[in-house]
Amino acid sequence: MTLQPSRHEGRLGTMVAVSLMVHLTMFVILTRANFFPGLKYPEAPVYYVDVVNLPVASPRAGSPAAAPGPAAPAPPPRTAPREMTLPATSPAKTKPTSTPAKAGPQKPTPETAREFEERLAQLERETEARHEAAAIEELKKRVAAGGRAPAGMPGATGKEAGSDYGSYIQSRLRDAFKTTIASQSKNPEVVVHLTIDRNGKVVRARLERSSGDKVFEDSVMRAIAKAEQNFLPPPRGGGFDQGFIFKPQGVGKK
Amino acid sequence: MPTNLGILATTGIIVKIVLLILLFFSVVSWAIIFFKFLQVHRANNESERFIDFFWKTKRFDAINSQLDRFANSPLTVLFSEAYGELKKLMEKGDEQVEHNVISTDLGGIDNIARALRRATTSEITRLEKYLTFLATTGSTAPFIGLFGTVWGIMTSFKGIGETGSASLAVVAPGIAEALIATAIGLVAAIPAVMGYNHFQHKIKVLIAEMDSFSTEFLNIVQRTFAKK
Repeated sequence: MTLQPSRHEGRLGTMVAVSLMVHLTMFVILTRANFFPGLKYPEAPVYYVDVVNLPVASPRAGSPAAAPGPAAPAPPPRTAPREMTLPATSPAKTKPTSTPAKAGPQKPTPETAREFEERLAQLERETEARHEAAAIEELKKRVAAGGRAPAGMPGATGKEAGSDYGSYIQSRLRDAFKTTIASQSKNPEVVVHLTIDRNGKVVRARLERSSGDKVFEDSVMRAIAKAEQNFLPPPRGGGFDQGFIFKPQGVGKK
Repeated sequence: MPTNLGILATTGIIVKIVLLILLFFSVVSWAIIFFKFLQVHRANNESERFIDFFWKTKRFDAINSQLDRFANSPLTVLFSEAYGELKKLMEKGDEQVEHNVISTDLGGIDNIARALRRATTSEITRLEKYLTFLATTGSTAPFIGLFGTVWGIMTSFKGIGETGSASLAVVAPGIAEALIATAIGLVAAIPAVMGYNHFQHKIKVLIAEMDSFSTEFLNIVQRTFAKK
């Protein structure tokens, strides 16, 4: 037997270490990098109309529903006299006892009906004029404030959220949560306390309570991160602090 | 936390074990692939250089003294074994001449042929070492991954039963973790199968080179030394 030539082969143990390093690197790259940025589903832009923040011109004058009210009661007086005149002449003579209930409204004469109608129309005009004046005054006040009013309010610039900032954040969270929701348990529930700074950025999202469903928690956090991108700053240049309850049914305020 | 990491963190214990097994298969497979790549690559290169050197150098003793330059070539082992056997025969032949004993050269050739065959076999064994692990990974990793998938889908069906709703929010996480097991099984198996086929081909080429070198060596020995 002769001497075998001395070989310089790498050891398998060294190669295992190299392989482990390669796997770790690949793992980090695959979990951190986004290789297909073009594959993001295009999201249709959402245009929000905050109905809750629409201006109420003169809240003390009554509910907003009272405004169209005066126009609606107007027609009945016009039609009523016509109906009243007809039964007032003929059925009153033939059946005076059978219709005692109708006798009441038939009593006013055409003159009194016209007077009533005129008075009603005058009252309507007066109320309307008062509402208009109050609304114009309010508008002038808002415009004079220099566009500092919240979004959805007269004189607003659209860069500041409405007065009910909690509802505003809730609606944005609800919409974002619809796209991220995922769960593994039966009735998951997560309460998150959000602290939003004066620029509309979430500075702290504290998990106050959780049912322990990690997938659900993750979906809530992703919803917050997604909604945060479009938050408007809180009104009056201040911060905002509130808890929100996330359930599969939706988002509620704590 | 990235989404992929989140999925791995929420997987069940069975799927985690499956993923660890697949990770082990993958790490060892790649280690073998790196190891074999260097081994076969060096063996091929140095064999080519050794063949050139062999035909240029006429003297066996000169070749034998330079074997360390081609240490990774399997042909050097063949040469070394055959040359050792030849030297023994020649020493024996000298003794026989001294004692006036008639010898048959054919018996000596057989000895050298046997030495070459033995060296070839040992070199094939050395070159094919660890390749069975690649074959095992290639054939079993997809099935192990499939087992993880089946388990994950079973878990998600259980989730449907518990929650009472078949919404995507309930089913999707289970299926996602299930599919990760299959994906990693395939990621482990595909390079292993490719590596196995590649190295098998390279080793076949080296075996052919060893066979032809053995034949050439025997021819030279018979031509040169059988005359004596």
